[in-house]
Amino acid sequence: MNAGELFRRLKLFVRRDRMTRELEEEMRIHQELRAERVGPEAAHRRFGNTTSIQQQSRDAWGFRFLNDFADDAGFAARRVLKQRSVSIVIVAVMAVGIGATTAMFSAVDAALLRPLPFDRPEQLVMLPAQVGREKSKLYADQISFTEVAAMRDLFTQVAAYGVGGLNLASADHPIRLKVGTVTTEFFSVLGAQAARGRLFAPEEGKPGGANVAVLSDGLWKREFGSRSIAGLTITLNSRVFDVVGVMPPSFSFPEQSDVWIPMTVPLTSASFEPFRDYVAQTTIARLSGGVSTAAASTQLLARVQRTKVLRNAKDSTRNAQWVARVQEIGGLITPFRKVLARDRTTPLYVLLGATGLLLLIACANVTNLLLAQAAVRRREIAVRQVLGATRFRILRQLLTESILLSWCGALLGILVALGALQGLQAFMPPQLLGLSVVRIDWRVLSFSIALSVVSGIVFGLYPAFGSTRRDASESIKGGDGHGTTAERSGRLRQTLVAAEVALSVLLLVGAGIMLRSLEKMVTRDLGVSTTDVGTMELAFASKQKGPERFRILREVVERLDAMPEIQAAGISKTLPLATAGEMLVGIEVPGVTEERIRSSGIIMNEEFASSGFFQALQIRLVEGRLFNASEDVAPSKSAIINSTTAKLYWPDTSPLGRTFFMSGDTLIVIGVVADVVNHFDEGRVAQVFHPTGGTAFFTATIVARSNRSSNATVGQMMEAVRAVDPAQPVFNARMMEDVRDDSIAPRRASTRFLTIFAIIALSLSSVGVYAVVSYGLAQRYRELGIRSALGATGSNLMLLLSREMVWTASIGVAVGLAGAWAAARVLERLAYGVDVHDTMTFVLVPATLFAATLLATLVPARRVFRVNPSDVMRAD
Amino acid sequence: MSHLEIPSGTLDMLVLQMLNRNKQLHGFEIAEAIERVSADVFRVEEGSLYPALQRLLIKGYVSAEWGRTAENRRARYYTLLPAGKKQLAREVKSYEQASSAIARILQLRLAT
Repeated sequence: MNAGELFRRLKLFVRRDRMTRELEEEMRIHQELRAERVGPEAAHRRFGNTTSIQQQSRDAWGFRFLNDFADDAGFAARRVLKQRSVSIVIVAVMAVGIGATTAMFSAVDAALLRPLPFDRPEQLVMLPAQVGREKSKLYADQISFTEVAAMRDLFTQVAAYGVGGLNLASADHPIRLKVGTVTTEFFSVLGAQAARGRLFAPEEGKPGGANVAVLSDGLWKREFGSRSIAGLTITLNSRVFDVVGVMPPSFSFPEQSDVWIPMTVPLTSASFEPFRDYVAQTTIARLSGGVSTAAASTQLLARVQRTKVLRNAKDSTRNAQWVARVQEIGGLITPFRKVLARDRTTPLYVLLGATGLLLLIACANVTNLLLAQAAVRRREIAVRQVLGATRFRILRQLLTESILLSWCGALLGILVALGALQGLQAFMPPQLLGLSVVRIDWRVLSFSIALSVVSGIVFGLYPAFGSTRRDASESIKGGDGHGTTAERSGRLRQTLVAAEVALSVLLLVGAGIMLRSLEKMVTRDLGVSTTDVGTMELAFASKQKGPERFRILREVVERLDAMPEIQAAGISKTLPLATAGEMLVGIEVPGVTEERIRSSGIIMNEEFASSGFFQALQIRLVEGRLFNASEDVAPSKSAIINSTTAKLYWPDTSPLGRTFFMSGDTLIVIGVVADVVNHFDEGRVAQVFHPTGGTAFFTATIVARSNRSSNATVGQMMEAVRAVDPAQPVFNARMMEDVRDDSIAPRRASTRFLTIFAIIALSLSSVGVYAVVSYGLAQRYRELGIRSALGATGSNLMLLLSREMVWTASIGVAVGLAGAWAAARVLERLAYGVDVHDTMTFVLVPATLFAATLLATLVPARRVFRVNPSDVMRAD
Repeated sequence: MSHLEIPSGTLDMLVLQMLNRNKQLHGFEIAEAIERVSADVFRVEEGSLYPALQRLLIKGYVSAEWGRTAENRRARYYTLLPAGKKQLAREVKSYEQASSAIARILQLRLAT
């Protein structure tokens, strides 16, 4: 084909409508001229099938395929628009199914499936080694980092890291930065390179090494305006660090660190600074080629046991217990990815399961609607067949229609997914935030599109095959036909509805349990008042010594106390509901054995608090008294315990005045307070409160109760700090309600999603029921008319129509309930304070579904009252 | 009288030839001309004529434009283009070669 020909063909294609008309006219003229010779009938006969000649002529134009496709598409579009409501429903259902699947899949992919953006991540493992402190020995159940780092046959590189906070000195406002404290091999273990400059050198990892820092890309741009790093320094907690490198924008591990400084081995008090009371370290390593996790684990355990120094019987027992625990959890070494995703996998999998269910329901719904449509169009298809359309052509047209709908559904679905992704960010494990951005990647996109095309084909094909196989003339003759095909199709639709109902039950039960859990969480008695209390945290630089720090805290509290709106203000080390991890402690009480304590399963932690703390948070005093003014400022032997502690150690008598040993001191109980919830996921915790007098604070929390409910409290608190020391950084300044809300937030997000899914499922099922009943009515019009003529009343007919549907729904609900009962255990970890076989949920859900199904059945069934028997008789 | 089918592949050639001999013809005239000149041996089926004409149009061998007949009727007139003339020569040549080959096989003599 040369250029001229192509040009001519294109011209023809563009003008094809006009060309077609001209061709028609030309042939008509020809026929007229012929008629003048041989008469009209002969001419007509001689000419032949005008339509097919025209088709053949147009074939010469060579755009047959495109032409037909354009025709099909146009026809499909007109058809779809004509049946607007059904089409909209089908598209919406598909959009929801595809959108939800895409979004969920993207989230799970980012959190769990996508390879970590580290070099060869499958070789990365975590092990419980500790970098020890200078001049202090490790306990019998701790493994030395140095020892592990020397095992070059097992691990090519070993590194430890921790996340802490340091203050960046800044002209107008001190900022607290997230600091990654890392040993020198950290970056190479992960295979990360600096974008500018260099990373840490081995000498910098030794105690007394140079103060160097590596900046994150974000910090470098924000605070340093991307300037050259030559000679650049950064001042953290009043210490000056030389900036030696900047990381690329994609790297912010761990936990969105702003800057990295070296962790010396062993730890010095200088490298201790970013942390509060203890260094929460994680040790990671890269396995040597060919070494499996299991092998390394066994080897490591054996070697550690060999070199361990057991000084006495107590050490031996502790060691034995530790070994037992290690065997229990499956070894010393864990693949790194598992560690990172640990807390979030359950909710993600649950939501993934829920999405799968929703998708199934959506598919069932779409199939149902298309089947119902096909049943109604049988006659139209038969007529077309008689007019000469080949079966292939009809199939192609029906297919085009389904594909058109699927594409609209897919497009809309992608929009839905984009929207849902915003909400899903809440699910990313915090350590992966910034690393794995939840976004729609091309794999998921193609999966969705493929899904929509396949569903379009499959659901378009089934009814199409059914329709065209039938004898065309029979369809035109007969009314609705009670042939076997109609029955089979009807049964299939009923089965689909039952399936939808069952799946909806599953989703509704899941959502119900989550909602109840959330309710329990929100209404739980926390032991503290969360209204009208402002909180904030202060962090100190190492050059501020203990007395200095204490002075600042006391002065801030005094200033707050002086304000008329502030009812009470106090100091503590940590805040209930805001604590991340805690040190577990133990006390010794004469007469109480360790066995008894351990078997109770109750853990203990310690807190430091001033008298104002209890008053500000309105922690109830059960017995005795709170700390007094002198205990607030000077060291003393007083201690306050909570009710759990009292019942655990002194079950039969009052603990007031009793003494106990803790960390080498003898303390005396002066008061008992009500239990306070520090963590939603904790069980009962025994707490011991020390007075603030004589306490060394790394960081501290200040709380203040205001008699006015407003956010101004937080502002006032920050003002007070600024008045005492303008350079003192303050962070996490927020109302206690926000603290509580933040701790509930992830649960709330999961629950919200599940609830949305459940509502959508319910709507879809109802739509399915409605559609089936509607079409059933249309199909059985004749039959109903006859019955009506024979004397059936409107209600009789309604009953007839509804009976089948109610029966189907019941089966669906029963199957769904059974399934939900069995599967409820999946939610055990997420259910809070609620039994997974919660009675209220298992009663309300079937009730709701029945109500919805009944409604969806009765609304269309009411149209039965409009069946006019004489119309039906006449129509035949 | 029974007519012979126009041998396949030769209709295009015959149409071009008719247009070669006459400046402009419309569809009906082309059909009539072929029938007349072939002494009614061939009858042109409309079913094949129009697809053929469209083919020739696309290939650029003929051009068409609407005009008026003697009786003042609208009709579409076809004209042979230079490219069409060349194509005619080509097709005639290959037709001659083919028919002399056939003639040799059948030991006939082709009247020129």
